Amino acid sequence: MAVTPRKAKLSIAALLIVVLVFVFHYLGVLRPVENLVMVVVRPFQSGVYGVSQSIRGVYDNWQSGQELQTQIDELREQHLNDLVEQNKFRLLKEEVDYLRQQLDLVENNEWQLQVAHVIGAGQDDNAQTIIIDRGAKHNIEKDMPVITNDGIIVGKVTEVYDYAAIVRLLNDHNSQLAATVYNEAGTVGVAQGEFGLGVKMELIPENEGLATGVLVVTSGLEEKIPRGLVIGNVEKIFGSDEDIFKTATIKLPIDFTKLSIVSVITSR
Amino acid sequence: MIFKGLKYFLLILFIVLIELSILPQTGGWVKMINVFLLILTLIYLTKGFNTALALSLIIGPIMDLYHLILMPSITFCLVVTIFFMDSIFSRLFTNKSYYSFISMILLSVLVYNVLIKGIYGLQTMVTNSDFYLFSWSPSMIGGYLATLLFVNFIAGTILFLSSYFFSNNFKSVILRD
Repeated sequence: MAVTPRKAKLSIAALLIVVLVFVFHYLGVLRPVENLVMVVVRPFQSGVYGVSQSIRGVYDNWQSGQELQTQIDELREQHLNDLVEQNKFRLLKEEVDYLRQQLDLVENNEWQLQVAHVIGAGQDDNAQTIIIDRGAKHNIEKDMPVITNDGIIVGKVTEVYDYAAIVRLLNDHNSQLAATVYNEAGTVGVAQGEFGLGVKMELIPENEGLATGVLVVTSGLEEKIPRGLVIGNVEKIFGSDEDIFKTATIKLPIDFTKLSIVSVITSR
Repeated sequence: MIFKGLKYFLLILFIVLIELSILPQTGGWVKMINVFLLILTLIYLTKGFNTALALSLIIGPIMDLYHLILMPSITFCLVVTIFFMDSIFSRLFTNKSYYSFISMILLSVLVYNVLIKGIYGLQTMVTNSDFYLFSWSPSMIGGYLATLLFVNFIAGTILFLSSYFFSNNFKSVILRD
């Protein structure tokens, strides 16, 4: 049975609707409808996301129990090594604490935060996003930074609706953030996401004395993002001694899939 | 009429909540289940082309709203997938069996994901000058697609069994004289 003329017409009509949605969306004509959809879905999303997070918590606990015994054995072995490394880590911790205190405290006091609940997340494995329940009506604008209560940046607001916003997480492949490394050279670069797997920093000059464990923070070069928001620590450095530039992977301090409450910095 | 409208509203809400609030909380391969494609395929086989197309034109833009992909890429991919699915089904299949359902699921998942990944790759190329799309090796693509199809095959089987046991949608009809 071939495709009937009626079906062909319907398909053309559907594609025409797709084109109209494209045009009207970018003209902003559909904005009221989009906001209405967000308003209708938001309460349900909020509830379901909370429940699913609780279920995940139970599952994680159960899984933790299974892994606990293995971890104990591994930890015993590690303990000996750790004693040797302990002194090094203590010094490093002191340095991190000190640097954190230095992170533009004056600026911190001038931040205005908008607390938001995470009500959903992008499901596509290409895009790492979360949906928050605050939007333009709560003074949220595009490109504002989203942080946790510890001052760790998790991403930037990318799309704003009246009562909701979509945040592109740092580990999204299209996420780019001006960053600086807390080393002597104050290496500046761009922290870029890698398909949800992590964050990397590229084009680091070879002579800038990069070391693993060093703190990476926002550089403050972006208009709406203050300096000093913690991104993570340098985990691995790639590139041979002969390379002019090196690449570093950044270990993120938190698991983005477990976010439930975040804050948006609405003014600096 | 109101009841029917309410039924579809709840179905759409169910799909949106599963996609945006539940699946993202799950780990690894569970996230690869394309719930809206599975349900659209089921709707296509049980309610027909028109209903599936109409539903894709409602679910698609909603999903587009929540994803940072060129609007309305998801809607476009869904419409093309349904059209493609209909072309294949009307030419090659003679009945609505488990095999045809699973074949349609696998076909729709394959078509949809190739389209959406292609659009996303092109978007990344244009916005970030990032040509990652061309850096994937055939083995990586093959491995990804194999996992994707396997996961959706399992999910499709569960959906078929649920539909079989809790409705008359796939019950065979015996003609008596």
